Amino acid sequence: MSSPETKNKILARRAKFIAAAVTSAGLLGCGSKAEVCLSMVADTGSDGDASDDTISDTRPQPCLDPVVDTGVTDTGPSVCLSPMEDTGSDSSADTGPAPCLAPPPADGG
Amino acid sequence: MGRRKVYSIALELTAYCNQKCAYCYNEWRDDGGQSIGHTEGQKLFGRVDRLLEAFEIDHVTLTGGEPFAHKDIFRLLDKLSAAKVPVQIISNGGLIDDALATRLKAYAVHYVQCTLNAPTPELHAEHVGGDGHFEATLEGVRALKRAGVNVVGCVVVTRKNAHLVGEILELWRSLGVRQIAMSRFSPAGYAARAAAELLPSRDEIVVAFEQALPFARDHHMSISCTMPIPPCAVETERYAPIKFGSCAVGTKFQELALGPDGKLKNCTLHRAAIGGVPDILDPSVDVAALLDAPEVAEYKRQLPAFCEGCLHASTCGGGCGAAAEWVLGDRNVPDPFLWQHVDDEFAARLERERTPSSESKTRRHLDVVA
Repeated sequence: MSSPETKNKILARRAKFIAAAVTSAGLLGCGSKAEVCLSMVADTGSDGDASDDTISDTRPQPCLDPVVDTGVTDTGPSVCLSPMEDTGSDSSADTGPAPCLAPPPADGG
Repeated sequence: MGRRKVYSIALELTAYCNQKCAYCYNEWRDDGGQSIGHTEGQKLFGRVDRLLEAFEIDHVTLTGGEPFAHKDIFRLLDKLSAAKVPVQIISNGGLIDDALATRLKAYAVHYVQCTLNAPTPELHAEHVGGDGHFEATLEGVRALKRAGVNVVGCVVVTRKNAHLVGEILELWRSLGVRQIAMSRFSPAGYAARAAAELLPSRDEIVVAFEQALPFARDHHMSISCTMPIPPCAVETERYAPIKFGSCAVGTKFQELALGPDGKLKNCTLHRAAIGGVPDILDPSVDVAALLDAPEVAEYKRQLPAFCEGCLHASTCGGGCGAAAEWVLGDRNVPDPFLWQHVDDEFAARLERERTPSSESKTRRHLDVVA
């Protein structure tokens, strides 16, 4: 069941993310390359939030498996190279990409 | 030239399944797999050979249908073992007995993932389409544990069981299973028509996470939410150490899916064959080159309009794109899980489906967008 409160909460959170993206893009000096910069910012994880919330990074993961511990750590500048690259995050809620249906192999024991 | 690296491929061994789950994402679930037919071992092995020739695969996930319903599963395990490709298996567990589990132990699969959707037989039966499956799954899990095979527990979180997640996790804990896949129901394939019935709301999924949190934090169970949760919809950061991720299609962590009919798909929830290739057995097909097809390579560049400008746009991508396609018609709108709270028309559509008609007691379903 949807409610106006839930809708408003989601729209408000989305607005914060958009504002944070714009702020971060400015900090990175991306200038007119807004689209590229937003991708870069998103891939860097949670550092760009202008809100009070801690933004979790929801990086890619296969849908069927629990998140695999891929051993991937934050590769920093590589986030600028491709939005498809997993760049890691400081968020303790995020363990990186993994298939959606089942957990990552390294975590399987 | 070396083979191209692929993180994972889900091999859907067979369209047949001994369960009839309401949440099943297999598009052939409606006719019990008859539209696909039996996948002969020879064809299956031929397709796997094609994949092994084309790709350096980090691991494969054997699934279905019910993978243990395919008579050649152990021959396939032999083949994959010879190719040194690690394996994990998604099963309902209902066909697993001590003999099978003991035989499986020799293959050192990463794990077998089994699903329990309720702490009681009745509600589980409501999810998986019949009586007896709850006990069968429990017996399968126990047989695997006795044989020393790693088990991952799965809970498909729906509107019907979100408030019982704590009890379900307690059941998994009592079975000695410490790693859990919380699979937030995502309406795709057969289950696209069950969105109204099963899709949890934001508040319901929050209840599920609240109940799961102590198991992750205090009981040190490894819990992953294995379907995307858009961060605008839920404050996922509040639920650490529960793990969250986003759709991997188009990334180096993508899990491709080989259907029982030979289609290579973006994932198990997608219906389209990559490159329009109906069967990768076709020798004229360059299987490796399918990774360059626009539906793979450009996937992450197609954003729902709602998500443009968002900090998480390039990673989140609006959640499960396959569910958006199945239920809402295209990926220009986000995951139905999110969209049910944003789009009043879609919310009203779901609500209508949930309201029993006075003229008919027949359960109505959402029209699946063809």
